[in-house]
Amino acid sequence: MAYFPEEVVEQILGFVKSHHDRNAISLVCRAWYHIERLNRGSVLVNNCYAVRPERVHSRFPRMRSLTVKGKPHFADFNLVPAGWGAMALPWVDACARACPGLEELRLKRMVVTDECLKLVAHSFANFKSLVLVSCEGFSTLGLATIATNCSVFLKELDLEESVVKYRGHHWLNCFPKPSTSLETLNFACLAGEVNAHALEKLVERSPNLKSLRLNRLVPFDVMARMLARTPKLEDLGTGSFIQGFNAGVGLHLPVFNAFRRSRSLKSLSGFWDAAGLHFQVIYSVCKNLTCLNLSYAPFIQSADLINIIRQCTKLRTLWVLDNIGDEGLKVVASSCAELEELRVFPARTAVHPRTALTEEGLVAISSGCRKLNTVLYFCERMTNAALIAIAKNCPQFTSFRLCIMEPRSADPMTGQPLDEGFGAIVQSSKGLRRLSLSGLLTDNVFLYIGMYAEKLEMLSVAFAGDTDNGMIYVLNGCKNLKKLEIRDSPFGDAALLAGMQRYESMRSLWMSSCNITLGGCKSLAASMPSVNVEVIDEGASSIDEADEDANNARKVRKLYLYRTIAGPRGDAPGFVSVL
Amino acid sequence: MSPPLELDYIGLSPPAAASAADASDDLKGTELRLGLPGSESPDRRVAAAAATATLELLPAKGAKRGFSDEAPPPPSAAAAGKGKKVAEDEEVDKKVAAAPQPAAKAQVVGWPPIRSYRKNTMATNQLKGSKEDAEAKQGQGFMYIKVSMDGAPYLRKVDLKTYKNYKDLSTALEKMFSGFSTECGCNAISGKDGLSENRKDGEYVLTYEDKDGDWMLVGDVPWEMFADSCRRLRIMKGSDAIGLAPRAGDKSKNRN
Repeated sequence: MAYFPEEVVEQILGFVKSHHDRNAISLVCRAWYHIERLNRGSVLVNNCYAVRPERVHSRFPRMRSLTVKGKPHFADFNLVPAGWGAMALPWVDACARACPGLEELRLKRMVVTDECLKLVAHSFANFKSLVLVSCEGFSTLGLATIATNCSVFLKELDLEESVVKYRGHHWLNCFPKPSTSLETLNFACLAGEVNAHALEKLVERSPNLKSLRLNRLVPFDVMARMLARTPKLEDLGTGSFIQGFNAGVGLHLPVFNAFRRSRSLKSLSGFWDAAGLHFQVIYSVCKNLTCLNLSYAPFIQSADLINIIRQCTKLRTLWVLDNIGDEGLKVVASSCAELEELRVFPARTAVHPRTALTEEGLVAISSGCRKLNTVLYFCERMTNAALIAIAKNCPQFTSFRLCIMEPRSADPMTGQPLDEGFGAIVQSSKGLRRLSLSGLLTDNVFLYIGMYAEKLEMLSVAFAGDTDNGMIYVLNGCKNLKKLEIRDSPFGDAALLAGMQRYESMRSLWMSSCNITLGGCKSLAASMPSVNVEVIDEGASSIDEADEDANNARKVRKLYLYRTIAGPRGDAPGFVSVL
Repeated sequence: MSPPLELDYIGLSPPAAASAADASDDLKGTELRLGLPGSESPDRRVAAAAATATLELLPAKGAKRGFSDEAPPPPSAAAAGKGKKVAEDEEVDKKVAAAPQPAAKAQVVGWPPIRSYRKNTMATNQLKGSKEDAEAKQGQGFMYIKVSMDGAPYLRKVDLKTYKNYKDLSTALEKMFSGFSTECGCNAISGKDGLSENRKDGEYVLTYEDKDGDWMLVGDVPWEMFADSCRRLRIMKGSDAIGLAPRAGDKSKNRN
């Protein structure tokens, strides 16, 4: 190893992009650690509290791209109260000071303020890409500073599913003139109006635009004109089909023509208010589509869906609402042989949707779409037999998330828990990395998971299990487990403490509405200094020492623990106790 | 790895659903429970206990309520407990012959696991949609409305869906009513949108009755909005139209 020149290792490293591999390389020996760290351009921080920003910069001085993730996953479902943390400012601040050459910043589930955006806009001369996924805390004013000050190099502005406060729409005017380098512009999540004229002008001066996702207030004639001007467009998120000059009356000729002429369009989404005949405009592009997201289009009827899907023979990714029904999914199964990812969301979010989606739909998909590897499926019922069939048909799942709307639903045909079904899934899909459980489940399912799910990295559990053993099986068995999130399940202190050896090799653990007590959490925290144990108790009285025994016996409503080398965090709000 | 523990899940042992239910009653005291103290946690095992029994027999015993008992859940139960309890009840109700569901069900926080972004987006969509649904039902292929002209002996009918804009409409109306007046409709044609702002010039003014029953001046709102809300047309004599104040305020507020 001593004779292996550094330059050669560096050359090889240039081809290694995966974070996982790079991390492994850096552990080989000291020399390689240093070579690797000086060579790493793209840094991924999966938990913003696991490490201090300064430390990241000192380790990776040549960083060009930074990705940081903040709140735990269950924050998506309102389980993490507002003000919990995950502020982006410290990270941006550190970047501004230590890494002025930063080109890309991607943040997920973090709080980004306008001040933060202003800092981004003014600190990085070569800034190319800003991606904010499920973020919040900023407004269109912040976007304006980005558009104004980020140089002509700005290629990507992507606000996927973020919450943006509306403070006027002039931000679209602020992009550089006479032309921009924009390749990706995604403001589908924007709630407010958009200046259509400014938008058209922007698109006119952005010849490299490949991905454009509009919000639902962009009138459709504007969209049609823009489509005509973006020959390289591969990904389109539509605006409104109802608002616009010449709208309604079923005549969408300009839109129809624009779609017909577009040769490069491969991915479609949006369709917020589209219904019935509106969908005909996209027939001409269906045969080229690889990615179709109709999951925000509640007015599409099953028949229209079927007409579209029948033509989408190259489809690889499909997101729909459950009003597609079992029949619709059977059409998908027979038409989309290339399908790799399917997500079916409930059209109504109440626990009792009136839908015709059962296990049959997914079984049909599994037998028709043999390349399927990612599934997210909301349905009313599921049987063991179906799951076993699905497991047999598709042994290459990497992500399997099933949500039976009713918690603790048993197999409706046999009355049994769904242990056997999920057991079949984990046994058959040896590469399974992500699994979400639902339905009636006993400790048995965890036994199976512990035994078979060797590659499992993320497990989501809700309303499942009988005793501590369930959680213990998983902690003992799944050696690659990184994230474990559990809610409303009967696991107590014994299970929590049984994982002591594991938490340092895992990224995080979330437990809410389980049976753990404050005392259990405290003793865990005491014996694990490299793990932050946070108890979230909104509305409860602060943890005082007065009656310690009674205190310790208190059930903990929400626990979030994660490994860290940054020590306890200083920005924890009042309702979070870092033990 | 050590051999898996053999655990006797009472709920899972095959025979005698009845005894299983009994046993689970006995063990209630030692059973792990969810929910805050004071709330009645549903007995999960009873569903499993019915392993061999057909589902219709489920309501017989245990903590689960039979569908004949439909008292609403106790108000003191915490939201989480209540949600689960009602969820259990729903399961039972569903499996047995259709029984009327209990009134307002408590929603468990964060369940089903749908991103709040998606929930908010769909909620907005559906709010708008309920309005549009009603309009869409107004016949897919045509929209015939009566057209009256002051002084004409009879009315006509036109299909709004055959026109794309105001210009087309006024041209058609002009042709239709050309026999009755030489001045007909010309005041309605000039102007950018096909509509004149100046009512004093011509003899006739085109007005329409909208969904709310108000008489409006044609041309204020985008075509689509007009086509959706127009119920009948009236070609009014210019002299009668003085004092007609177009109510553009509310209608065009929602325009893009």
